[in-house]
Amino acid sequence: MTTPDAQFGEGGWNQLLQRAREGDPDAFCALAQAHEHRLFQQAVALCRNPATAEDLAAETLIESWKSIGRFDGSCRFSTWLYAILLHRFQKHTRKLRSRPVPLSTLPVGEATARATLLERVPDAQPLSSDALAQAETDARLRDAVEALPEKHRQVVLLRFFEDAALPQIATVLGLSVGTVKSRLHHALTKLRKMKSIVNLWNPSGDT
Amino acid sequence: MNVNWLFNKCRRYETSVSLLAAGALPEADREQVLAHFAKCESCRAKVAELVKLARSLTEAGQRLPEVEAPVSLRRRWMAEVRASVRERDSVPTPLLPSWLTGRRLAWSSLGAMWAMVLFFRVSAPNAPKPVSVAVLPPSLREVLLALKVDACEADRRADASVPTRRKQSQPEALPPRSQRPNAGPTKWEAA
Repeated sequence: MTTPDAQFGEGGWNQLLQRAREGDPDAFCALAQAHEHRLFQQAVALCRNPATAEDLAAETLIESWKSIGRFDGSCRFSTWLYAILLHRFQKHTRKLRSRPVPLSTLPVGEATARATLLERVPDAQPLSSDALAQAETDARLRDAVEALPEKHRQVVLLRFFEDAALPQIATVLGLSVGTVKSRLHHALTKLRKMKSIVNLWNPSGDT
Repeated sequence: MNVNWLFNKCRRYETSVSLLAAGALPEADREQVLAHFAKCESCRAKVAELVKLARSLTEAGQRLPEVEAPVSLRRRWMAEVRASVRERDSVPTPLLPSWLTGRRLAWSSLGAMWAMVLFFRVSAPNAPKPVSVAVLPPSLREVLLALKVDACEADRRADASVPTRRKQSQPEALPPRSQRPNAGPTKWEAA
């Protein structure tokens, strides 16, 4: 699969980016259209709700248009977009936490818990046993990453899910490379100790 | 107290182990870390686990949900981009730069005012200043003092010619009773 950044040639990419930074809406729209689909998928993977994911993706693209002048090309455009998406998602979760939860939405009993789990399964073709196992592993890994503190989660998502290099992560998060290294180390150490995913690399469960 | 950790050489390589698993270890450190792994079994086991974890994370990150972006998403952000372009084109160029607003504008105005005051003080040093009578030549001083004396005298006369309201309204004081022409004995004296 070709990444959106690779769709344009080197020259075409630079030219489009330069025009977008100068405020050309057509150039920005061309760039954004190429990244829109993947960005939406990443948003769905983050929040697991298509409606919220649409809001997040739209907000990300609008914000990127407003601040495209500050993008200096030191990282991939997709990495920059993903960092904005993470920031929007962080704001969204904070807002949700601060809002009072109505009693009717709280899960009551096993039946409600099972229904909530079923809601999270996407409507698609029947999956094979391998695919089911893989989907379950992915879900457990994503849950584990979600359970990390925010500063560690950002680094893990950018490194492993977006495949960004450490200097790029440092640029988009406004940190030093040393801080990124330290956070990555602590995040991996915490993930390694999480019991929910320990059997992924250690089937016997001995730590 | 367990002091083994003080002499534990593996502590030095903890971060390097994680970075190696994440594929982010710099080339310069690689030789040294691999040399340590050759001797240390526990670090080898740890890095093997972390490599599996990192691989699982990378694979999970690559397997994004198979969902199509809705048409409404494109409509939303494109409408916003077009609206901002229309707004940008319709707004006339402001007189002041965009960064010069609010508190910055207030401080820069104050600074400009002080700069003007200093400029006029420096550029017009011979401006007339109020002088005291002591530094005037003697002849002029006498004239001024005489004028001042005349003015004080005139004020005094004016005060004397205009009776005050209290003087007008106050009745004349009566002489003592014994000195009045038609004064008879008082009630007590008669009794």
